[in-house]
Amino acid sequence: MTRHLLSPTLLTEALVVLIATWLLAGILRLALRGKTVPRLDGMICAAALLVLMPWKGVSAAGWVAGATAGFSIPLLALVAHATGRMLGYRGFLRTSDLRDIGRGGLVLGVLLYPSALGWGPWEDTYQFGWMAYPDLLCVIWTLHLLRKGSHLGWILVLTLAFWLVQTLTGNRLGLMESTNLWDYLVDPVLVLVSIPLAFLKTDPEPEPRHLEAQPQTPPEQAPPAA
Amino acid sequence: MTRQNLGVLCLGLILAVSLYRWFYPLGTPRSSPVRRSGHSAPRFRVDPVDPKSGTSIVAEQHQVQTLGSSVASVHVASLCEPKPGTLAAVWYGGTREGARDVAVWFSTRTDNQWTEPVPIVTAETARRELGHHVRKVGNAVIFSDDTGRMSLLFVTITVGGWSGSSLCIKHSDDSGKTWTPSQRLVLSPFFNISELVKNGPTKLEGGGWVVPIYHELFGKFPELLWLDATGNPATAVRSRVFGGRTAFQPSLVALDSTHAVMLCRTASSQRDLFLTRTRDGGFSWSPPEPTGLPNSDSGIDAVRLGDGRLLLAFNDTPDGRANLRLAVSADAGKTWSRGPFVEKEPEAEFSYPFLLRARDGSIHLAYTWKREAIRVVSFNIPWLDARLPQSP
Repeated sequence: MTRHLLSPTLLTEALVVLIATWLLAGILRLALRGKTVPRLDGMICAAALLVLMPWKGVSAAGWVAGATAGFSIPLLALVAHATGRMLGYRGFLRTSDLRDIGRGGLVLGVLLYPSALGWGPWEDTYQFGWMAYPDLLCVIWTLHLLRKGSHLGWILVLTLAFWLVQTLTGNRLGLMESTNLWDYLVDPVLVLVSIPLAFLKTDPEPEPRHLEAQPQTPPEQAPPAA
Repeated sequence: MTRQNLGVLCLGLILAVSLYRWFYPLGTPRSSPVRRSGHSAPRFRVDPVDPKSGTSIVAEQHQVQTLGSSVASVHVASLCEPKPGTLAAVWYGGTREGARDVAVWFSTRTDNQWTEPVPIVTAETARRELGHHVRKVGNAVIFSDDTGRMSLLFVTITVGGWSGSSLCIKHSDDSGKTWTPSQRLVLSPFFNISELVKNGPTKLEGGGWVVPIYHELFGKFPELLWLDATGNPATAVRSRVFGGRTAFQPSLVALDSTHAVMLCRTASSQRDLFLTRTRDGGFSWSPPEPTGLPNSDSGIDAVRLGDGRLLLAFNDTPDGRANLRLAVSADAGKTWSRGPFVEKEPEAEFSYPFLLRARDGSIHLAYTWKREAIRVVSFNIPWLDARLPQSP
């Protein structure tokens, strides 16, 4: 029998703590009318206390974990970004990254859910998540995103690393109950959040450095006529 | 080193590990259709067909036993034979189906006597063991390996009704005195809901199990759960038999190491039992076909007899559950001969049969009796054959 080193719902607990931090920070910002920006570490500790405290024998995170099979790493990254922004930090995702996450989430959702829920005569795409070649496809997608400079590429590197560690250790570390790659990449909440994100308008791309405006040099003056 | 190069390096490492996993798979049961390169096709473990099986005993044997528990409503029984001559049974019971006080009850039969049923899983114990909210528990199936180690697959519900179910597993190494803590299986990407179990598993060659399970949310369809010999949830995978809303709640009967039939309860307006076949160990399945036997949207079960015939327990009516009958097929499910009624009473309910073929070849049939009790009918092949129509 597997003995987990960590809680099998650790990622869910982390996500719920981050959401609680975001909510707490939002409420405080409203109450203080934006005068003081709460500190990140203090807020996370307060949120963790609230979320992990047992209620009817189960913590708030446990209540959420009961109704899900865990959340994806991209959703965790989105919530971490939103929480950082709420606390006054710049956040680590640019608009183009958010749009990439949105588009990726939508594409994965469309590929996964209709077939996994048995609509129509399609193959069950969910079972591919236990096979080997989807991670190769995921590696190619990640390479493309890294070449593009998208931060989603880094999130996917983290996702693949998490998933590989889980499967290689037979889920002994815990972190998440699933060993299916799909569960690390996408979840129903991410698909919902992806809908507005996919249609975000990004700022125009900055001009390449070599085309940036050169200092103006005065036009050569014609030699005075003799 | 630029950040981009670092990313490519990380990916290279991941790719290398992925390739290693591809050729030297870890975790996933080696025999499952969710195959990786280098995997052999799944093979069912079945006893060789013995045409004379069961004929050495000429005397008919038939016995009816009733298992009660101190609750108002009971349902969905299953049986296993952990040691030769010993039976173990589980079922769920409470004030009514789907009530929060429902527990999974357990009893064993030694020397023909059933022990007092005890609850082994409740919503409270499941909540404590799983560390997350569980509103109620439901369908449970018990099975045992060659060493007598018993495993219990059962349903927990956090939100909604039966379609909100997830599957959990626990094991006992001491004949059911103590059980390991429950562990949840993650088998569905949509909040891990709507995975249920009703009928027993088939053993795989080289260890492990394939359990017929089903999904009933938007679609209603049969699936297979592939477990390794330890029943570790981290290595469990599932595969689809077919999708849509034709039939569900499957019963899997292996004919030999690669051939099997699956009989399913109807999920459509066509009140027929459906049958599908595999020739490659469950990797692919034929489209479901009606068997010509009626099904009143009620559970069924089937088992292979020692001589290779199939035995089916079903409600022989397109409406209601007022009878329970046996049928036998000598041609792997193509045609069926109706056998004796096990129960028959107008307006009553006899439902959710579970069939077990014991090591000595005798058959044990457990079913819900009027929702008040679980009945176990034990009989041998001579008793069954004497009640089948004589072939010309």
